[in-house]
Amino acid sequence: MVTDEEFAKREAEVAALLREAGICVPPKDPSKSDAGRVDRIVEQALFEAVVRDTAEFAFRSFGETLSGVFSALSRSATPPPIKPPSAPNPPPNDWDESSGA
Amino acid sequence: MALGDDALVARCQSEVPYRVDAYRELVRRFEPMVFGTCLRMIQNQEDAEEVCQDAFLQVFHKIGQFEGRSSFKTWLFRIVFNLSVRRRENIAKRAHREIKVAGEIAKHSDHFVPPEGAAGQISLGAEVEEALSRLDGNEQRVLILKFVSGLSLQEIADVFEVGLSAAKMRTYRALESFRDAYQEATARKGGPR
Repeated sequence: MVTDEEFAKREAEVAALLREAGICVPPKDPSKSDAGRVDRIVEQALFEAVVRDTAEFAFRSFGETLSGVFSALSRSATPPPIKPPSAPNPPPNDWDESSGA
Repeated sequence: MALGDDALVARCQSEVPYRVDAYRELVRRFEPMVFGTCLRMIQNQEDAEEVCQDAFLQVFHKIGQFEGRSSFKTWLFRIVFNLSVRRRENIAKRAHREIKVAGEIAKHSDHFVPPEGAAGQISLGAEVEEALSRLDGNEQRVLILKFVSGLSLQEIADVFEVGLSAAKMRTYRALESFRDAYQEATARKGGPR
C-alpha cells in the first residue's frame, strides 16, 4: 500500500516536471476562456435546440395531418349503409271476397 | 457576486433551452480546462476543438438529466473523457487505414511520401512529452486528468468509476511509470538537465 507521503512526494516531482514543461493546470478562471470558442459553442447549442424544436413540431404536424388524411379516406371509402330493399306493392287482390266484389 | 457551480447548474437546468445566460457562464467557466484536457488527450487542435464543442453540447442537451449524485465537474469530465477516448480510437483507426493505403500505393510507386504523422509519430521534442507518450493509454489519461484537468483523486475515481483507493493506486503507478520513462528519455539524450 502506498503511503500518503510517498504519494505526495511522487506527485510533487511529476507536477514540477510538468510545470517546467508548460503542461500545467489551467486555472478555473473565466477570464482565461476563449470568447470566440464560447460563442461558437453557445450558438451551436441554440441552433441545435431550434432544429430539435422544428423537427419535433414538423413530426407532430405530419402525424396529425397523416391521421386526418387517413380518417377522411376511411370515411370516404366506407360504403353507405345498405337500406333494406323496399317491399313491392302487393298486386290488387281481385278475388278477395272480403272486398265485396 | 458570482454563483457557485451548484447554483449555476441549477439555474442552467431551469433555463435551458429557452435562455442560455447560465449555460454561457458555465461554458465560460469550464472551457479552458475542458479544451486543455481534450488537446492533451487527443493531441490534435482540430479534433480537440470538435470534442470540446461536442462535450458542451451534450451538457446542453442532458443537463436536465444531471441528478447531482457527483459534482458537476466530475459529470462533465466523464463526458469529456469518454468523447476524447472515442475520438482517439477513431484517429488511430483512421491512421491505420491511411498507413494501409500508403503501403498499397508505395507498392506501386517509388516516389510516394507517406503523410506526416500517419504512423502516429508526432514530433514530441521535450523529454517530458516523450515520457508522456511512452505511457499506456490509461496511465496517460490519469496524469492528464490529474495535472491538466486539475481533478482530485476522488474526482478521478468518479470519472473512472472505481473506488478511491483504486484511483490512488492507478495514479501512483502512472506517476512511477512517468518518472521511469522520463529518466530513460533524459539518459538517452545525455543525462538529466
